[in-house]
Amino acid sequence: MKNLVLISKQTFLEIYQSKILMNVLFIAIGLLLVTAVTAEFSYGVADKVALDVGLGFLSLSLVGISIFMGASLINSEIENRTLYMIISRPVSRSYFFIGKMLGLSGILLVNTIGLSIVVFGLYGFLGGGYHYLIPWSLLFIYLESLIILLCVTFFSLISNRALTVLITITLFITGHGIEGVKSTSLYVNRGVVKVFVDIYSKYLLNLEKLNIKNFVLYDGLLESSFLYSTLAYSLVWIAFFLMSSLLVFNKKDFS
Amino acid sequence: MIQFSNVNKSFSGDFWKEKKQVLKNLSFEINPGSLCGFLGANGAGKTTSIKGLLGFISFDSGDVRFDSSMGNDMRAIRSNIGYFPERPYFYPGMTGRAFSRYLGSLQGLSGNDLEGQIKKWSKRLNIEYALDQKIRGYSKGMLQRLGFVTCLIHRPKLVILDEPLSGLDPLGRKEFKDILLELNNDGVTIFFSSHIISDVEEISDSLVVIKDGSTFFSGFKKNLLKQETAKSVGIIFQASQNIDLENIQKIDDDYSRINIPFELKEEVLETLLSKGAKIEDLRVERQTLEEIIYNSRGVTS
Repeated sequence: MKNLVLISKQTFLEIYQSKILMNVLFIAIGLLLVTAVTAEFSYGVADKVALDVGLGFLSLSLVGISIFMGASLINSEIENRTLYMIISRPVSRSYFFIGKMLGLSGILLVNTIGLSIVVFGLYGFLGGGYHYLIPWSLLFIYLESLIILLCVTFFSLISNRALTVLITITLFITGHGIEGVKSTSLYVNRGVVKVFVDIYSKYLLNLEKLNIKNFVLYDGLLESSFLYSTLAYSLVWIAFFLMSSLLVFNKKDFS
Repeated sequence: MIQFSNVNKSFSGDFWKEKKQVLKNLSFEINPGSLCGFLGANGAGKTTSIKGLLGFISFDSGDVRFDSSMGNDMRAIRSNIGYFPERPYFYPGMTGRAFSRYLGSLQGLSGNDLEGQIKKWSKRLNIEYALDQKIRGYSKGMLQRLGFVTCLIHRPKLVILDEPLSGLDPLGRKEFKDILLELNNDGVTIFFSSHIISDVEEISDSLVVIKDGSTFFSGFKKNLLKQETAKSVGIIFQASQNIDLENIQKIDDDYSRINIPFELKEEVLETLLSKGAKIEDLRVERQTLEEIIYNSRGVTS
């Protein structure tokens, strides 16, 4: 367990030193600019605009870090062979893998907290009030980034970096777009498409389930059963990608 | 300490390509307390064997066993191993000290013990002055030294080194060899691969020699020398009359030389003396390990 903490800490510090958290600063400046411009024609709902844009930026920032840092997190250890120096010690492959994931998850968490302070600071400054779904929204954005991180890491173990990034971006876009397809005539009129979309949205990665931003923006209500089932849905996908990755990583030859 | 039994390993670059068998029924044993050299040509399977030994790759078949004194599970066994890869790999953004602390902590060291061990070995390996520098600024020799520090700080019972002397200058090689001998005198088992045969010959007491993935020799170095060496006798003499012996080479107008198998020395000497030859020099010549391995079987490239 001590080694797991050591590897997580080392990973966190290594990524931290890469100055990735500087994105918080850039996003904060971007958010201020966008809000300042849109406030001019937002007819008194500048707080909502700030929140909408802010949550969008936060989500994209986390997913971006997950995809681009996650694609090389384990692969660079394998390619640079620094992995040899670690797993030749009393460190199991599983602990190494989980430690690396926890390290990057820590960065994602710090990024979430940093950007949340910026977004909700601005939202509050513009007169926005507290809504009970705000913490849930942040939790789901964070969990989505973890799903994407584990997804990209899984594909990085079985594919090259470019393909890994491409597959993950495709899954991210499809995962968010699949619910939107249901409102198209293609879905309504074509039986095969309907079956495919229904199967995909039910059994494959449907990230739109984690998107409750609209409920936050328009003061909507969601039942706690929905929130907990969405939480469980996220955890199942995290567990699935983690187990699959460990299965591959533990069997992999590092030649 | 380690026993390899009928180990096989094949690699395939792509799934449609035919597999290439790298290790073929490789079997050998390393005794506790030995300083064992691991010899073989490039591509003979030395690094593959070491990677399998440390669990980086899995063998297709065969068995590798560690002595019970090393521990009962892989975690315990690894805590007793010090490994030094062919080219040591580091995190360039870390300082040498942070890296040593990180790896020492993974081995269960902490506090004063960890700091003391880092100080001891970095001083011994002349890298103490650079410990607070970022690793990305280290030269190759400095990286080798830092790698060796991290290999030794946890007092391993077994040290496995993959080409530890490559890339070092003669002084550095001597330092490393002295440390290996010291460690071995303190009871540490050392298993190191190299294709610099003279270094292996100089310090090892036992050898594992592999050729094309199979065991060519495994055992004490002296046994290989005894087994493979055909001793010969070289005689330089001055003769006033023609001597009817095969293989006489003229050195100059006065001196000649003859090389004969050791067993024929008395017979040839009698002939020479009976013909009035004056013996100028006579020496028994024995093949070195390098000559045995290079010349006899072409084990190394």
